[in-house]
Amino acid sequence: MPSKSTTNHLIALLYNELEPTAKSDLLEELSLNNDLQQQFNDYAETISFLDESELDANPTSIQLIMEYSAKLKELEHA
Amino acid sequence: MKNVQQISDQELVHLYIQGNEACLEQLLKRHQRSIFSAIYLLVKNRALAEDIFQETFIKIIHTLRLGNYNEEGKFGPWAVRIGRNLTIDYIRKQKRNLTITDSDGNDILSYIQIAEESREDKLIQYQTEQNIKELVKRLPDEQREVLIMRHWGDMSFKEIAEKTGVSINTALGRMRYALSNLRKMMDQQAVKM
Repeated sequence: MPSKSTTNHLIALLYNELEPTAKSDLLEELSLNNDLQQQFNDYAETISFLDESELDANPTSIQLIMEYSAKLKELEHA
Repeated sequence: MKNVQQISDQELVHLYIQGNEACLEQLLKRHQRSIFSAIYLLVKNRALAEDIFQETFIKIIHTLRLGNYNEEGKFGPWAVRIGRNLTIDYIRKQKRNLTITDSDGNDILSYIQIAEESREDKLIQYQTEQNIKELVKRLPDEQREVLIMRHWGDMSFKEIAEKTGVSINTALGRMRYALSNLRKMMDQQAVKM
């Protein structure tokens, strides 16, 4: 069973916040430990599901923002 | 000149201030999803989220043009923070008399959604989005706040630890429990992945 600190490191790894030495150690441990690998896959899958739930702003909002910025630029140069 | 897609956020900001409108468009493309998601997650109303999203970029545009932007290289988290703060301001105005605090006395309006879903929203959301957000709402406050701040708020675990007054290890642990609990709930509900 992986320790709590190791599984915390998995989270840091998944969010790319693990410092290089710890990352290298963890990647090596991952290649040897099936339980840890399974946990890593579970977390990664859950995060990927969270990613899918993200929403995009409506293109009209983007267009209005661009128009606002262009108008502001015009006024500044008027 | 490099293609705008290859330019760093910092350079895009600099070029936009100099008058290159395409750079603002690129910044929007890169960060609209995380900013909009952070706002939507708080208000749970698409029309309102669109309004606050536009307001957020109007504030960003003015800040950049006035030369008041000084968070070089961290445009994304800074922009998400502006959106989040404007959303919290809105919620506070709507619920001026309501104060909810967590066990440490922090105002949880800062990181959880309290607005009610409109009927229209229920219709326009995809089923998967509904499922995941419903599940997130069921997490304990401490886990939910870390999840929202890290995943949709673009905050690092160090920043979350500072914001919530815990160690980085505790913040990581809360995220770990949040993901594990989400996973269990998804398995129980057979959420399609």
